[in-house]
Amino acid sequence: MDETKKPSVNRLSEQLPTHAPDQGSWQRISAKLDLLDAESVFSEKLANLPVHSPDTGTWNTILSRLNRAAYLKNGVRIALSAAAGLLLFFTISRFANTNQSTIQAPKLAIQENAAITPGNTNQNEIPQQNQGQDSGNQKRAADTKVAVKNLAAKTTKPDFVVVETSSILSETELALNQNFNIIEIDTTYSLSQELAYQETWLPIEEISSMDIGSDISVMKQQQPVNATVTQSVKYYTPEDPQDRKSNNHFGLGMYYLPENIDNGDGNSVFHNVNLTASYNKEKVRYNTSLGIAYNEEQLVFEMNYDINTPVMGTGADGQLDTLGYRVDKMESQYEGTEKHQYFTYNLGLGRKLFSAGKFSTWISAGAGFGIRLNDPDIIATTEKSIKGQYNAQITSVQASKPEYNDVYVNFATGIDLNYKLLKRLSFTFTPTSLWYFKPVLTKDNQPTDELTLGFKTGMKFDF
Amino acid sequence: MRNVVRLFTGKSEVERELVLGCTRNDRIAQRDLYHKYCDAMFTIAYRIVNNRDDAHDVLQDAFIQVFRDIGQYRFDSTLGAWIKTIVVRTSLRQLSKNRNLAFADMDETKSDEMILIPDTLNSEYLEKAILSLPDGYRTVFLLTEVEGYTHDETAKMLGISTGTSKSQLHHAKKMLKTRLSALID
Repeated sequence: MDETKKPSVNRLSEQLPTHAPDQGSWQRISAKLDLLDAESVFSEKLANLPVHSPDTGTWNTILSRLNRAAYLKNGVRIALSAAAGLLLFFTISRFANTNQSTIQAPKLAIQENAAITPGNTNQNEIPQQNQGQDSGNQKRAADTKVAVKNLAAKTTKPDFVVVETSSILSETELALNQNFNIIEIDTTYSLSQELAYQETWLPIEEISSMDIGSDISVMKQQQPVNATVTQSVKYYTPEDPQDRKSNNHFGLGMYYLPENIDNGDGNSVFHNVNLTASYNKEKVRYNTSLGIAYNEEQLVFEMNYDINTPVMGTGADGQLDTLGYRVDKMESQYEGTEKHQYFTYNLGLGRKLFSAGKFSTWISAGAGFGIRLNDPDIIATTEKSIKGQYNAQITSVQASKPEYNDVYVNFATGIDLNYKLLKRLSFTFTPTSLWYFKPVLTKDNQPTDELTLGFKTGMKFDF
Repeated sequence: MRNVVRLFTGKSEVERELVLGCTRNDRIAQRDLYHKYCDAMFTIAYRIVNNRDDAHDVLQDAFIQVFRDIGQYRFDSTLGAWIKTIVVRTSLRQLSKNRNLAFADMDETKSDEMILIPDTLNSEYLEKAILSLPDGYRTVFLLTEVEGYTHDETAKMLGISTGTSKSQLHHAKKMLKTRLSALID
């Protein structure tokens, strides 16, 4: 630095005016520093807020809910699989029947529409294997009369064939039975209704036009028609007048079963309501049902609790403060109702014992399970309510109640008493016994009831 | 790539094992996961719903949802943060169910209210003061100041505007300051 210039710089700085901050400057800086410190302290305090732990039983409650969800999931899977299996079975059965009818129907349609008279049978429609037999039968069955009923459609799908002879079946007609579909006619019903079976034959001349619905065609022919009617059409014989294939059908029923279950202190009525799908064969039927079972448990319990009321007062610093608590000891008795609900699923089968007219009796057996849908606990709800309402401490609870299990499994047997109200509608009354492998209720880890009896009633519709 | 890195870090590896176990519905893994996070999550739930019984309900519902949806966790955030989001949402649902959670649309105000807290203030007193705030104020304050959510995230979770979230925080801090002042004095 040029020493000669130094004195002039010093002089200049001395000559320039000096400035001082305002009076409150340090206070403002100080205040800002305080705010930053406060923010830091505040953040630190917030980071160190106390940590709370849940009660020890919380995990068990979560576990129970997880298990119940898994049970329900598996139950629904099983139910849906079984329902899908049954649906597939019904569909295949029906498809098989339809397929057979479709193949055979045109032959009957020709017979129906051709108004066949002796000698004018269209031989082209006769299967080759039957042609030789036809000429023999032609002579032997000259007086055979045939009526064809077509309920579905006149030109396509005959419902059945009636073969009637004017006398007791002779050797000739018996021979014809090999190829004919023979049915008896119930004279108590018109032909437009579903046929019932009767032991006697009605000569075809006695079938008046009044008896025959407009959708029925009747024709007479003195032609051995075994060539045009095949065994695949519904088959009847006088000795065994049962239509086996027509008895295979699908049914849907709605049932109610009240069931008394001992709950340890008395009886608890379980209401079982279910929708049952069934596949019915001649003497056997398969059932599957989905439903709801529920009960309403009346509970009486005593609860003791302390109500803490704060006693306020002005402290030494003049501020209103809580000085202490007044404790009121309460003893109360409560009554309430818990509604427990279960989803139910059953599989079973039945065997016909006997039938007489519109009445039939079946023996049935099956197995099922129930999965709890809800978990009502009025004691816990009451405790919570009292705690919240009065800021109270529960000191004791006296209650006697059974434990409702998440899942139950049972085996059911019953005798079905069916009465046919209408052509397709039946009323059913079934005394039912249920044996529980895994019970609904337990008390002190013991099942309260393993064997119950109930009376199931319901209506069934046959498709 | 980030997931691969995590595989070689001890803590995340354990966490990954826990998640995979829970995905397989392994009860032991579910129990371990619960015990690892139950205190933190219960604390969050308790502060939001301001009731121990309700907090238990929230904790149960939240963990059931965690175990049900664990397959959707993609390791793109920490597991704790993912569970916390579920707990917060469940708590808010519970709070709305029990009370009418209302957020008044106030004028947007800068949330620069500063709270002076002496070092000697017990954290339990501070928590009591926070819990004494009205539901709306308390919720916004907890989510933004304690749990560290941004105003946008808070607003989205509560279904309110960002401005409302900011104004709620401002008023919450103001009220908290008043209550703490009374306590300190």
